[in-house]
Amino acid sequence: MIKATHRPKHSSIPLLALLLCGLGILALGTGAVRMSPAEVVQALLGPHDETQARILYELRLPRILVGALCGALFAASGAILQGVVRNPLASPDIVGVAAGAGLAAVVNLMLLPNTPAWLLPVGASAGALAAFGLVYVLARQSGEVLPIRLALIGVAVEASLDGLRRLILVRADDSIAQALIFLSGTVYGADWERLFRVLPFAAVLIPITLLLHRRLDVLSFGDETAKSLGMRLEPARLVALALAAGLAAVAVMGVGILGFVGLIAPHAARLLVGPRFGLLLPASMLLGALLVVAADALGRGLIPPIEIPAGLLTTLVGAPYFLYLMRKTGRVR
Amino acid sequence: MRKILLSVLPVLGLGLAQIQVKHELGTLSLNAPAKRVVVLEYSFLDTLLALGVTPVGAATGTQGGDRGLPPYLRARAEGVTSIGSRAQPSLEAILSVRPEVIIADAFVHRDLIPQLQRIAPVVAFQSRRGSFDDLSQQVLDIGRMVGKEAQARQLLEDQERLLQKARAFANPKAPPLMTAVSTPNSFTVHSNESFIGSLLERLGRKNLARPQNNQTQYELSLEGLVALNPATLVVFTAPDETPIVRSWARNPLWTRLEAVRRGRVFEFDRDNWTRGRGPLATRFILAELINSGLLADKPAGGSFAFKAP
Repeated sequence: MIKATHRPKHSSIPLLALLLCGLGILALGTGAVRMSPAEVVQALLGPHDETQARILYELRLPRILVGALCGALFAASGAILQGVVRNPLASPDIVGVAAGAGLAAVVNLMLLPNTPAWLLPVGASAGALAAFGLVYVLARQSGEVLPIRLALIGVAVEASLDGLRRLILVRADDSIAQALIFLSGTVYGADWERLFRVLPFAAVLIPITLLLHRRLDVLSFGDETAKSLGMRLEPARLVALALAAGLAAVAVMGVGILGFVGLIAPHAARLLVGPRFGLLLPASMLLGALLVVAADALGRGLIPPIEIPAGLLTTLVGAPYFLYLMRKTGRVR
Repeated sequence: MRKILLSVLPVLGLGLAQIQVKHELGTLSLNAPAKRVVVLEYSFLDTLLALGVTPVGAATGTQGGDRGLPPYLRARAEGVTSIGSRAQPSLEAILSVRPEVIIADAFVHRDLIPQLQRIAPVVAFQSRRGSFDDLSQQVLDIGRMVGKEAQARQLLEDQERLLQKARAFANPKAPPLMTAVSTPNSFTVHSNESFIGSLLERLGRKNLARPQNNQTQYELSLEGLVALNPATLVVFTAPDETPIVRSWARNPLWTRLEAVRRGRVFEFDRDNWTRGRGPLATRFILAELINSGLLADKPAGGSFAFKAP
């Protein structure tokens, strides 16, 4: 049966949640106008300075919430993919989400130059889903989607969609490049409106994901085990993959493409709580939220009033982690 | 009767006591001149400083390829609070200086306007893509907003006199010229409808480049440049960069350019010439223009001659 070395560590979850709350309060105090944690609590609860309260309520709070929510979504997506593809290096990118979103955004801007600012991210997440559909259809062979095939096709589709996007951009108006900044992964300018755009989708997808945790467990055991446990493999895999793509697509709507969050968070969570999805999913989501909130707070706080995009910082942390993972998995083989 | 009407009108105007400024997003109404203004482009900062008004915040930060204050503005803008860069101004920093009005660029800040409007009323002008006339009109509009309309008119009158003076230097028989900003990896033509292009046309020097696809500025390759073959070429570069045009000058094609053969390749500081775009910048530009001999179509000489590699 399963190795007994992974004792479920239930205590990690409340600990991570507590950590997230603490970080949230620190992040609320970070930025062009610094506030101590005590001042933050004072401004939120007690009598306060009007400007400080406006900065907290109108700018920082929605920004932190959008960052946390989208970090969690990316992480959940990555957790599912790493399980289904059974590869710790898997991330939302391998189902074409990033390139699909980018291409859709560019096409959207070319066809509708005066597209309202809110439509662009929505279009981008639709593109992300479409790209996943393409990957899935291409990867399906005689009614079956082998994980390794999915990963390879995913990389190929990602590369070709990205190439297509660049090709279009070469001839494009420079206002398009301007509008595409959001794709680079940033929580800059996130407001309540953006939070409420993402929230309904998250409120549907996250509970579904959590409810399906046992099926995800079975899928991650391997095709043979899953079949012998009586699971109809392909429908289950399609649901899991679609869920992962959907989670990432919704996250793109909020923050663009935040590099490596969907890779690091679930991987680190697995080290903390083991591979069972019942714990892995909440732990991944909390870690993903922590990662993005920390990156955004750092980006705001390092050299104010200059803002470093959160995506840049997550990539800065993520790329070495990825290399370390590659070396480690390489050695195991 | 007419006299009475004329004398009543200003009184009526005073009764409403409203300042109305038309801009790209609509009309801004103010009951009193704005005292606390945040500006998100250098031309607005230049204009306010020329009017003797210090903004409570300006986007003078360096980020995302932004190069900070142009040298000609540095001494004057000392002490102006930076609220981040033009591409990504810090919304918190803007909010914390409690502006009454935010002046934004209609093109650069298009997607940011809803967020800015939640902080304070926003006025958006075409600065980055504006022509010389657009930017002059903005001097008047900004002057009205801050209660310095008379000073703004005076600024424009002085500027007009200076332009007339400079025009006297221009050689009316000179062939059309071409102006472009060159960075380490780009060569961007500024057409006759850009700020600098339209200023030079105003001074009697025709520009070879027209806007393309409604863009007043666009990139060009060496081949494209050779095809257009300008008789005078003006490049704007930064002293701390190696512009791409410097490597083009090693290419045999370069020597076939009419401007190179005639010795009419001029080089100016791109920060001062293309990023300020206000009354102070214009004064600076006119002085260098006359000194360089560009207007008179003399060969480029001294520090204004293109520095070949």
